[in-house]
Amino acid sequence: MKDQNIIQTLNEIAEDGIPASLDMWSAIKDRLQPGRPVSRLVRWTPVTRLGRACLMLVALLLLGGTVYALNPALDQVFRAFFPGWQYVEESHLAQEVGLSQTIGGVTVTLERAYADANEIIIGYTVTGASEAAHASHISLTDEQGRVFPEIAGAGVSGTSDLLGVQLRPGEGAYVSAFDASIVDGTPVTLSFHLTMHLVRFVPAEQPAPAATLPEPTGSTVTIAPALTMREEIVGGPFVFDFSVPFTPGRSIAVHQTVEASGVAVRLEKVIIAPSETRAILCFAPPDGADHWTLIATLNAGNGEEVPLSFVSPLEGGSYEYCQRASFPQPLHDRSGLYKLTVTELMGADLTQIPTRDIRLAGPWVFHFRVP
Amino acid sequence: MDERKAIARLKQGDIKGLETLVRKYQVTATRTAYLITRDRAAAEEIVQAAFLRAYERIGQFDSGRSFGPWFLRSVVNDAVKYASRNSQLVSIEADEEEETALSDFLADPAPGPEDLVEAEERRQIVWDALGTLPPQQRAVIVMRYYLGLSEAEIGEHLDCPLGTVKWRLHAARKRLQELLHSLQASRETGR
Repeated sequence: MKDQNIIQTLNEIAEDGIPASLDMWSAIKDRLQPGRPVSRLVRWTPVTRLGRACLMLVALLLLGGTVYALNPALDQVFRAFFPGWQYVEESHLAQEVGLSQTIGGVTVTLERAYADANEIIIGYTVTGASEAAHASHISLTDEQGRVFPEIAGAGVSGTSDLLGVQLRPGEGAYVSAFDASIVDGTPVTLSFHLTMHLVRFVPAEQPAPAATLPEPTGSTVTIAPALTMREEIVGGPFVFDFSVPFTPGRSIAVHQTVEASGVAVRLEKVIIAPSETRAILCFAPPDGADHWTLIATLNAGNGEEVPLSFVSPLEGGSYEYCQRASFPQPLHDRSGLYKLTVTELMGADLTQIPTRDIRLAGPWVFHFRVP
Repeated sequence: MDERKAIARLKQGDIKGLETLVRKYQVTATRTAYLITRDRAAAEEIVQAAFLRAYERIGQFDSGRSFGPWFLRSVVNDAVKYASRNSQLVSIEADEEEETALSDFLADPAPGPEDLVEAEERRQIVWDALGTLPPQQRAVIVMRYYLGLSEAEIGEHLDCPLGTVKWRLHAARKRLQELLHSLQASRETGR
């Protein structure tokens, strides 16, 4: 009877919030892809609940209550590749996908997927390959057909002392990250279509010719042909359709301009999400070089200067040269006054041999508050 | 069309099978997601996405089992994830000495005209108190008292051992009791 009161109250709240007349069929029908072949649905190999339950039981016994449903090798790759992974897992932000596809005896299992405002990250395992194979020609698109460019990847096969992983021949665990800049707004979930081929590296049949470079002294330096490799497809295409909850993170519109060494650098915005902290920096490219990059650090108000991990140009840039500067440390829970310091701009003229480098010293310092 | 036939048709690619399942589970699933997320739009999106995912993965589904638990498990997990990402917990100081049961607090054996106002207030207090629970604890309360699942079934839904469920349920009940008393006290003071 007492529990009945709780049940009654929750039912009343639920009925107030969601009417019994709710009808979402037409919305769902509209979202179904027309003409989807049925055969694709039955090609998936089920990942059994029993198998997962056994894994969890073993993990519980060994780890005293900590549950690791994720493939251990893949978990190691995630942790090495993605500093914010522990937070993502503990906060249940990643989607357990568990879709497998087998082609020619090689099975690819899409195990985990995660999406936030900066990156979409997938983790997959390979079994049954005759030799070390990894995914290539990866394409990630959404329901509107928009393409999410792959920006980074990592993986392990065989034995890795660094990761403490020993895999059997033909097994591998891999993580790929895709740029999520084109996601509009803050959707609850994102639906993706992923295709990939498995490839292996084989020596190229025609080695590259030797290169001869002029030296300032008048002598010449001959560079021996490197052992060039090419990719050979060993399986695919592996195709996966899946949905992932979207973590919006925090976006701070900064719009500050700082001038140093005759160059005005503008910090457009900063996006803080578990995958990384990303700063969008723009400047008119100085004369003398056609490719520019920058060196920067980020201080999240705790005195620690976090160096950036990589810089890449934004697509569709105009006269201004906008760069995407990524800081991998998890700063998703840090609020307060941040400081971003661009210490140097580095340019290279790739039309010159050897290339001519230009370095412009800053600093360009930006202060902004993160709520 | 019964559920078993609907699933068989869906496995053959017939979306009429999906329509049957949508019509059967959409309200319960959306209300469940709503109680966890506290956001109607998000709840509807979560349930729609879960139906689409079920459509994609129906090949994995064991036809010998009931669709409802399999589907609601997915909805609950997504709702918890959404709530975790968007949680803004309100800190309320609770009196640790108070041990009055939630069900005693909610007891309303003789509803009359005056009680209708109290019922509305009671719903509001429970709603506010639910909102201050961490999403995982909120989900446990919703599964136990709204979906009527047993502790073992909750464990199956959340992929966690029975002991963890019991602990979470106990912690959720205790926390809810404290919050309800704190909320009620603050409202009475404000009157």
